Amino acid sequence: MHERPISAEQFDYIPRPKPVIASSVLGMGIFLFAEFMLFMGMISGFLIIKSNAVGQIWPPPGQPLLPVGETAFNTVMLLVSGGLLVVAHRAIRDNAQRFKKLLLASIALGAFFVIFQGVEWVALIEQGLTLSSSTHGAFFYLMVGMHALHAVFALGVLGYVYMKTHSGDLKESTFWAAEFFWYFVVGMWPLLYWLIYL
Amino acid sequence: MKALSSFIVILAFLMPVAAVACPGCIAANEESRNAFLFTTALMTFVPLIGLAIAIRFLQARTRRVEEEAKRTENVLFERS
Repeated sequence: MHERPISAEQFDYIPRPKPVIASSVLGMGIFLFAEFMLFMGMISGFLIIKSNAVGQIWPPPGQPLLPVGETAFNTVMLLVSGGLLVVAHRAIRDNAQRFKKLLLASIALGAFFVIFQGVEWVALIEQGLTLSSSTHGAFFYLMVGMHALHAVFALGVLGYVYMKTHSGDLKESTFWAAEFFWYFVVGMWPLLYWLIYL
Repeated sequence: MKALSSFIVILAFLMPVAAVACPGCIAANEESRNAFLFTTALMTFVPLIGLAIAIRFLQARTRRVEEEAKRTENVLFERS
């Protein structure tokens, strides 16, 4: 039996099964799992170094104290940012204007978190805490810096989503992927705060 | 020449030296040993737990999509 080939236009009408999960969300999930393992590796190294500290004193003597109170405030800001994104998720289908406002507020609080951390870093460097001043300094800048890098990239992705809402061609799955990324940044931070600052 | 190089390799295996490469094994304190064990467990089980969660999620999602597809098929059948 001879079958006729179908044209590209006809091919578009062939019903295809709905994907179980959007490619953007799946890709983001795989990426974030790899990033999660990266953080777990750094936390493992940190815990071993901390347990080998002379006299079990951490941070090592002579090192500047970390701003625990100020960072706690900053942590609350980041958590509120994550909470606003949860509320934005609920508003995406029903109320586009509310969604935009909530998304913008979430981005603004996230940006506040990153800038506040930058200010903290400047103060700590002036006090003598650098990458090479001690293992404490090295781990602090490595872990907090890696988190800040993720926060900056996630803010960029959320900014892209915000731009898409203005042009009116935002796909729900694109928002989900961006949202997933931001929840990772928000969720990772309390763990790092508890390990490094407290 | 080949026999000589093989002999050198075998000789190297016969002269073992303690490799001081594991901080948890050589450290004298209990804290360090515990930290080493904890982090080893963490790095072993976290990927396995992650994989299990991903499989469960995909199973549940597949079931939901299939049920939705079945519902749509029924509606089409009733209309025709």
